[in-house]
Amino acid sequence: MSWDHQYNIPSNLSVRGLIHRLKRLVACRTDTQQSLKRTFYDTHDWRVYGRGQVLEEQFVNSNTATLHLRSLHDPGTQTAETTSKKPIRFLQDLPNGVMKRQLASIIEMRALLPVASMRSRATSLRLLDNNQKTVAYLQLEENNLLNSAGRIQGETIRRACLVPVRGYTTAARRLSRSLHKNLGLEPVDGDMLVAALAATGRQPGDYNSKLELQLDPSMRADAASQIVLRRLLEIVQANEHGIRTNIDTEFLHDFRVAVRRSRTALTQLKNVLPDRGQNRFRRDFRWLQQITGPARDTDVYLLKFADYQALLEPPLRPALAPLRNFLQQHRNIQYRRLTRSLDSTRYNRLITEWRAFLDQSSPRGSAAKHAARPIREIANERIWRLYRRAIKTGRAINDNSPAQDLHDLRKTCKKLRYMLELFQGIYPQRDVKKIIRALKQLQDNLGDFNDLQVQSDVLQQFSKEIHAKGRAGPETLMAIGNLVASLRQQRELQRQAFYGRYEKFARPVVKDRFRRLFHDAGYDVTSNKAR
Amino acid sequence: MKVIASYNIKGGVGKTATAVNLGYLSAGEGARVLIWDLDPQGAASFYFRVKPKIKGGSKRLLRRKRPLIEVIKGTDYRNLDLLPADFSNRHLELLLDHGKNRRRGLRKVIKPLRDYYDYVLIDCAPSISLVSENVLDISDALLIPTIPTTLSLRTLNTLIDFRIKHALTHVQLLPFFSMVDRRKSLHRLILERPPKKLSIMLNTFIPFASEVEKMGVRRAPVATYAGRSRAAVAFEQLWTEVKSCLD
Repeated sequence: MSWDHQYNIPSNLSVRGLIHRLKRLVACRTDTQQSLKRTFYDTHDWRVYGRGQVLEEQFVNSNTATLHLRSLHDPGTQTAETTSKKPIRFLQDLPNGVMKRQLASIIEMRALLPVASMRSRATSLRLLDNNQKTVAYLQLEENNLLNSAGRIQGETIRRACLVPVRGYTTAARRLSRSLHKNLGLEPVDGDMLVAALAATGRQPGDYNSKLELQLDPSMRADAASQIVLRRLLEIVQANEHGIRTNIDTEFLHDFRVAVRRSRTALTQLKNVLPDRGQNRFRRDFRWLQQITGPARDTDVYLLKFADYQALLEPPLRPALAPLRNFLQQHRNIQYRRLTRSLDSTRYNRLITEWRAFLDQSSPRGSAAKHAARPIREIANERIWRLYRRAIKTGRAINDNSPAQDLHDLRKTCKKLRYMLELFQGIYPQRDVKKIIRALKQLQDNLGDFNDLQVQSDVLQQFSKEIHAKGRAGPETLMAIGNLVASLRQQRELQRQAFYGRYEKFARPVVKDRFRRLFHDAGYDVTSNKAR
Repeated sequence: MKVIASYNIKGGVGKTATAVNLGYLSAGEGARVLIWDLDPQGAASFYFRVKPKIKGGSKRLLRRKRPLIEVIKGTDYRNLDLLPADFSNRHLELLLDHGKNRRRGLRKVIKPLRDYYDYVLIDCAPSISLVSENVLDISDALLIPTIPTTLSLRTLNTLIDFRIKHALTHVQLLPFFSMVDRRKSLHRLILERPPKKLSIMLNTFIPFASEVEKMGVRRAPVATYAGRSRAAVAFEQLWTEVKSCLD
């Protein structure tokens, strides 16, 4: 049975008064009284919150922080705790242990950013049993939110927080009942984080790289496309700051995906949006894709570095260190270059004019050829055509086909994937998810094949550069050589695996699903359901 | 997760004191720690004021119908939990013997704990039995408190041979002198010139001290009430040395 963990302390009751009344009610002892700074952390895309967890850092008059990871819905459940002397930003800053293992699957490569901070005075009470054993803690808190300048803002949030000790929930539940019945404390729903965010006006999940748009299938195609493209522009702009300040690699990744999706939408939705200016936007988006490429590439090499090391024999692994240094420097240069491009007139004009283009109301009568058709019809046509092209290109691939053929198929699949994702809101969710899953397996194979090809070539090029600059000894060059050989071997394996993946994608059941969703007129565009 | 057993064939050598104090110290450093009181006498459970009882007894441990974490109790210290003793642990031998994999029966018991703990410290009962063999099987290291007397050293030799004979060489042996009384000439002699076969002995030794005996009265780790005593310092040194051996 669930029970309450958090209570508001009424304004007419002082903490001392509360302790006094409690001590007459139950056997308890004051444990600690301390001032602390509490900071809540999450990634830019709220991965911790999204997984129903809260990550909190506490400083108690020292330079050692204690990190707590607990359940958002059940604040009494602590899942991990660790102490750390250095500031935590990435997973690798954490000491090895349970906390690191649990966070690894949640945050992956993303940086932890503070989402709310507060100064608190906390008195901790221990509830004791007959053996003087602690069976629960009651933390009485007076929390003051801090604004970005570190100054106290708003009213003090006074809370009593009940933390059960593992294996003694009955005692904690009994105390919970007493707090409510005998002392008249009112339970509050949710973690302190929720209250802190509400007070600062931040909305958890205010950034998400997914589109998640609900569109009416019968909507005019031009209006629907504008909605989708506006959402993509939002994503582009939401990631700019993170790229400029170089917070983590995923800002640029999300930025690039949104740009590529916009490009796909522009080319696939010909004659839907007004023709004027489209060529120019297409050109500018291609430019944007090109200038962000080199920085993303070095990000990928650095993210994959541990995998690269693992491909080598253990004695050779340390010899890769100069490559890492080279990549780091290379990355810094690329990011500086990229920031300059984001400050350029060309970029700023592109964003302003693109927004204006998307905001203009659909001109009736004078609109493009397909502007007034229902979006479902247009999406159906385009997706079906891309699917057929993918099947045809894939079928023609054999052992003698050049790598370019696989590359072409990869691009078609990418476009198909983007179209499915952009307009998945107008189709039954379950069906589209199944289709995307089938497509993803083929895409992973094609993507890996392509990446391994590019990576092995580029790493070889880097190795020449490092050698020319005299930054590496023969061991490093040998290690890179072995790595390149290993990557090429893996590429061959991917190539062999292609046929199996393609067969799976091209099998009749997937084809039927595509046909049913995108080709047969068996759908009622107004009801979003199969007839 | 590292599993460390505090073990000796002989009783009364300081196994429980070792498990309890090292467990307390490691938890204080921020690691998540479980002390598993496998001794039916339940001394570790007593020190932590936890009832020596597991719902369903030791059968429950081995059958795994409900998650093991449900019978674990939090202690008075942060990050430090206890799997209490149960009087039925005295039948553990029989239960293991009837199990499918009698020598490896504890492996599955310990596996789910990986999600929760960085260290599991097992306080073993004094004996050399099927249970001991199972404990050795799941342990990364064996802390062996040894009193510097002739008979104790003989027992240690037996254990070293047992480990080799039963192919349990994956477990690291970490014997150390315990309850050392410098007033006794035999203790001094052995400490200064330990037998050659015992080169694996750790450098730290735990002195015979009333502070350690007082654990029974205080029902708490030494560091909580006599943090500056020789015994508390010795346990700190021992933990540092053990950690360096585990890395």
